[in-house]
Amino acid sequence: MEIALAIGLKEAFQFALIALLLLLYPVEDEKRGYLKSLFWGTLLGFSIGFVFGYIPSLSKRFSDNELWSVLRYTATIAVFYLGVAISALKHEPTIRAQRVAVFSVGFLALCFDSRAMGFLVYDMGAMQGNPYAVPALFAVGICLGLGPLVLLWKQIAKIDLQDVFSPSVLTMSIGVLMLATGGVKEFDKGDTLIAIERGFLGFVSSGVSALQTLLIIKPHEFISTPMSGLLGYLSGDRSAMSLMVILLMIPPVFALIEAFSKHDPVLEDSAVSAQKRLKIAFFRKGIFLRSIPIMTAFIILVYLIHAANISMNPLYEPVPMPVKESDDKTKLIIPLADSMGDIRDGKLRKYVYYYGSKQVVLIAAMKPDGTIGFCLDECEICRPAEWNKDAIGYAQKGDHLICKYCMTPIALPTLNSPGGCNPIPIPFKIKENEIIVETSEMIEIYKKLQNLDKKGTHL
Amino acid sequence: MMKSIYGIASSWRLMFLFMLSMAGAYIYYSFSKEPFEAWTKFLFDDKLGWAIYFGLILNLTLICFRSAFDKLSPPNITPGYIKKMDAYLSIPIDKVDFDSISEKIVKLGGRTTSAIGYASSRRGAWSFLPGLLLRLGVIVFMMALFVSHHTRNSHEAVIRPGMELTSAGSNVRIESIDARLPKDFLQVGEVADFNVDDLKSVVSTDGKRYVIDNRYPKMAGASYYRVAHLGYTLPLKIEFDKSELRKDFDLDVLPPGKTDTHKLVVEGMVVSFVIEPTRTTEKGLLTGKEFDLTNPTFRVSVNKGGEDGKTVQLILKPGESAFSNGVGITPGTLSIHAKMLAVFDPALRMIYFGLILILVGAASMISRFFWYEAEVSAFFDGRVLMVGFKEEYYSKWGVKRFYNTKNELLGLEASVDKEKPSE
Repeated sequence: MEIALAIGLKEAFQFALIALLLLLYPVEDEKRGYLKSLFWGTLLGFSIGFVFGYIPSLSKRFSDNELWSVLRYTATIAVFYLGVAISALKHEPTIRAQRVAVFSVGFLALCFDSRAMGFLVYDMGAMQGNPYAVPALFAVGICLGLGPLVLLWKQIAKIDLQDVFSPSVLTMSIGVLMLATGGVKEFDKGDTLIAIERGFLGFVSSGVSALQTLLIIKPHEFISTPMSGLLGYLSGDRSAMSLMVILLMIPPVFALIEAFSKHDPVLEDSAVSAQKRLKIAFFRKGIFLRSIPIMTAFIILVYLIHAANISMNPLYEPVPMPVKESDDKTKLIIPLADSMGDIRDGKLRKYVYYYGSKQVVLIAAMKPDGTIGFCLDECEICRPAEWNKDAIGYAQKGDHLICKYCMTPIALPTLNSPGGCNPIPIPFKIKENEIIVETSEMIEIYKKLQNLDKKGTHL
Repeated sequence: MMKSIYGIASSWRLMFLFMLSMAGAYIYYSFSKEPFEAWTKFLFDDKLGWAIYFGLILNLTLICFRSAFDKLSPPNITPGYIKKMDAYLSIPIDKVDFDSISEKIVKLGGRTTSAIGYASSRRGAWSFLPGLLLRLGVIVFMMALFVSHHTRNSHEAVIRPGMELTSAGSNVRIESIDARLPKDFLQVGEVADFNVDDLKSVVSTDGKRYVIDNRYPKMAGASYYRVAHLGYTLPLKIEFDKSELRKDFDLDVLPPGKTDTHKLVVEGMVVSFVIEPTRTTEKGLLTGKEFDLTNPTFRVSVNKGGEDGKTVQLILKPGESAFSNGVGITPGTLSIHAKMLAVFDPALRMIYFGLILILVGAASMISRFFWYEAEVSAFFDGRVLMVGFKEEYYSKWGVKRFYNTKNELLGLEASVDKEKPSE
């Protein structure tokens, strides 16, 4: 049940950030009008969304989660790009247009997430047999999340950020916040950026394939085709990622150009030089202030793109399997093929040997030349702190091992070669499709490694 | 009214609106099984799709005209024109050597205009060309794409030397097929790294000979041709249970390791073929296999079907018969066959041309970083001298440069100027 409280608190707090930005922007006289528009937009968005998620008949009738997700992504990108549209306008938007925009942002920011919240609240209440406590806790969470905004209203009313935000930069910043906080993770595991990248990937791969058919140069399994390498690259996930980056960077770049393209004010020669310099300095300070939210948006977007990239290209790290010893306990025997598969599939394998209270983790992988690489899951250099033990060892990404601590890629052909960031090699033999390791040799190497004065204590 | 319609129809905003509509249509069709195919079907076969598609083409065409016209037509220098520029000076002065100012403006170069009372210098007037190339490429490509969608007719046929076939009403005779297959192809591990770079077929049609290969499609007669696949043709005589079967098998057994299975009409008989390596070596955990692809040895599996259902395996060496468990196979002369793709598409050349224009236009757009329009214009009515400046890009620095050099341009001393208020 506490989850309902946590969801309400988290979503309300995320919305409060967007609301705060919207309410800090206008001058004091206009704040009430903004607050009113935001309030009605939020109320309508929340009510409609929550009802569609909470009431079972409506929820079932409009249950196409994919459609709701696409609508959410589209709304987020629309708000994000609204700034570009505003920049293209010849005149500043009127107060009425601004209020309509604020109403729309309030509606869109909450409508789709409210549907997810409504569904979750109903579902949790039904599962726990308590249809009243869960919504009540959820409401408490909402109040707690919005509480700081309400409590600080008097202070907020005195601040206006029109020196820092222009209407286009404000909408762009709200779009960035929606990208970062959109979606209810407990309901919808989908991330906006991953969905966009997958959409682009589908488009480019189908588009390139259609182009190849159109030009009568369809690729073949073993017959060379013109431009197959280039077109194959263009139809891959790197192109999709590039398109996504371009899509996300256009609004901040537009905003930056808008901020920096204005020339210094031209003042009459008769003006006192000191006053002239003061006015120019004030003008340039204004440009600097306006660039702050744009650069902040850049940093947040870079982080979001990086996180999306990591999600789509995760490191592969298997769970270490206990290793079998020989009957006389002098050797370790590791089969090349077992219930986990055949080591010849090219995937990294990890094994664990219990030496007293310590765990000696070993890695094995097949190298491109067909030989086996067999090493300790540690190197000579990196020494993560006690609280960061998960960073010890290697994971696999493609045909490289990656040190989880320093992220150095280690090419598979270099396994069994000591030094640098390479894992410590362990002597072994291959006999009848099994890796045979002398336990005493392995322990000796392990002990030497533990006594080594390693560097790398930054984390 | 016509002017405002023309202005809207040739505006960048309308172009973005059309592109947004296309993007919106793609998002709509992203829920279908094959989104891209559904989207292209909408654009090319649906009336609303046509409206968006041809609307965009018309818009791009008008943008081409407008940008060329705006850049090349001589400016109408009036006070109103100068006030709309990026920066201007308005100097109330009754005595000014306008001829020397006009001369200085003309010396700035570019497309110059000067007459009594006004002068103008416009550099980079032709800088619209890279954009024009790009837009023209897109227009040509889109038009050709539409025509191709509605007229294209393609089919694929297995070809062997000496064969004759009909394509788009023309008789085509296959004179020869030539593929450079290696005599000793080494495959390491389970995955074959087999590639054929050079595959060609000599065909004759309408009294002319053409060499069709695996590279770009070649036009022969009214259609385009390209060799798209390669395999072996093996005539076999299969003897079993006092019966005999003769058949030419088209074997799809490349790359080496691939099995081709043929179901025969005779009592459900199934015959499988795979190329047998001439030599096998092992190193570590890997196995290397060597194949002679010019004169391959086949492993043939024959399942006689029926109640018996047993499979007999035979190794068929070049030119030699094989016999095992009551099944005998005698090969004929091995040859290669290919698959030829024949496409009738009157718009294919324009598609290629459009793509080349797009690539050239896109590459030449890099020049726009330093090739752009800059204009200085002056107007003097006997009482007020107006001098204006505008620059297509980097106007912030251009305006600063203009104000820093205005006195030199106008031959003025630093005095009271009434200037365009800063924003």
